[in-house]
Amino acid sequence: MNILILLAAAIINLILQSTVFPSIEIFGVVPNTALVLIIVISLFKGRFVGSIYGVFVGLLTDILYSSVIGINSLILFFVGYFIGFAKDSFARDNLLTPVIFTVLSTIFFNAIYALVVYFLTADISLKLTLQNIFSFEIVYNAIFSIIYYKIFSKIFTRPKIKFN
Amino acid sequence: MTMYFFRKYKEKIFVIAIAAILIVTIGLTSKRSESMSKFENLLGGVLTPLNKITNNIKHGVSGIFTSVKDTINAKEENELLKKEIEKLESENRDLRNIIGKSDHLLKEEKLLENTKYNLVKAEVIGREPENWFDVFTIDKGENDGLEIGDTVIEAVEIDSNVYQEGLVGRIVDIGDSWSKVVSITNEKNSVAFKILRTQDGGIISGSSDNTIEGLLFDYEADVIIGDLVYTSGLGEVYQKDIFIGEVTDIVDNQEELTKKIVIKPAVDFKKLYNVYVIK
Repeated sequence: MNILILLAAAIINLILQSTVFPSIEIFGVVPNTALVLIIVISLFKGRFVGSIYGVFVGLLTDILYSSVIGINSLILFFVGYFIGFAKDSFARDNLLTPVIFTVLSTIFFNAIYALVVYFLTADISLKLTLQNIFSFEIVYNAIFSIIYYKIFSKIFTRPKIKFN
Repeated sequence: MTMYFFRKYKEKIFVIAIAAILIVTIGLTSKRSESMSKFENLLGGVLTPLNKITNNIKHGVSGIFTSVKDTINAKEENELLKKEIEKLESENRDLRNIIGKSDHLLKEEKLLENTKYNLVKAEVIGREPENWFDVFTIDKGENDGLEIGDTVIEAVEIDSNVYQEGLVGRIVDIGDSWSKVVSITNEKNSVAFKILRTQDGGIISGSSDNTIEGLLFDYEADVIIGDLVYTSGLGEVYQKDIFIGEVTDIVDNQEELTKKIVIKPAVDFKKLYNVYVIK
């Protein structure tokens, strides 16, 4: 059941990210909802599911849209793994949790991305790199993390209410 | 021992292994080696339908926004643009007309400033189709005081900024508000001329293309290329002292003892718009 939900979520997110979200860009920034998805799933399902899911979603994005396969997978793998550690340490009801993790992860994601690109092409300016790392995407992703968190908290907590 | 090692570090091994695999993948795909792109092709082939779907939705979504907006505005815009085009085209025609005529208009103005004749302005309204640069119709007739035989001229530039009457032809047929003009290029329209420099006389005897030929009365007349040719007024067919053109060639015929000159007329008979009739 969970696997089906995760699979559907990955595909729906991929479609939304490549179709609807580009038309709501702000300051030329498109939200990285794949990253948000991994953060939210990791917060709910822990580091093991989170990291594997990160690789899966990352590979999907890479193969479809990226010229180099593995960048998204690698970063999303680590994001899922590290945030998965926090699964039990943070209050689930607090919406600040996904927001803070999203802010940190977005910076992490773009920093690692810039690093990989740097090693592959060695042809990017520092100014551009910093602009990409600390961009409006942080805020945008944080907003989407709240939405995603709400959706998935409903999906994943329903059975528990039933049992209690 | 090994089992214990694996159990203790299985998570770290798992993380490092996956990270290593992905890093290797990055390295391999970034170099675009052939085997890797084949693998990619395979994967891409599997995922292409998905890619296609997302692309179609993408086009659809952005298409909906633009097409809705466009359809609302398109009809209105179309009408507006059509009107605009019409307006601009007509303006363009007018302006081009003015530009094309500006040379003539300037010449006319200069001529009118220092002419000694009483001139009636007329517009060329038609040409005989079969010999279109020999006979043409103008829009003034008896009502404007014109008579058969009146001399028709056009403003021409002799030297730079010196404008004078240039001979076009004469009226041969007249109505209330129209006249037919035979131009001097018509062979039947013999014009008596004189060379300005030596006052040697002659008569125009024919034309070919854009030049007219004149026969000099005096075989031994002193003519050189570049001499200016004017009407002599002999026979009172044409007004006296109207500019005809410039001598461009001299043909001596020893046996017949005649001397012919070739004259380049000052008037461009293919571009006649406004002419003047000397009353």
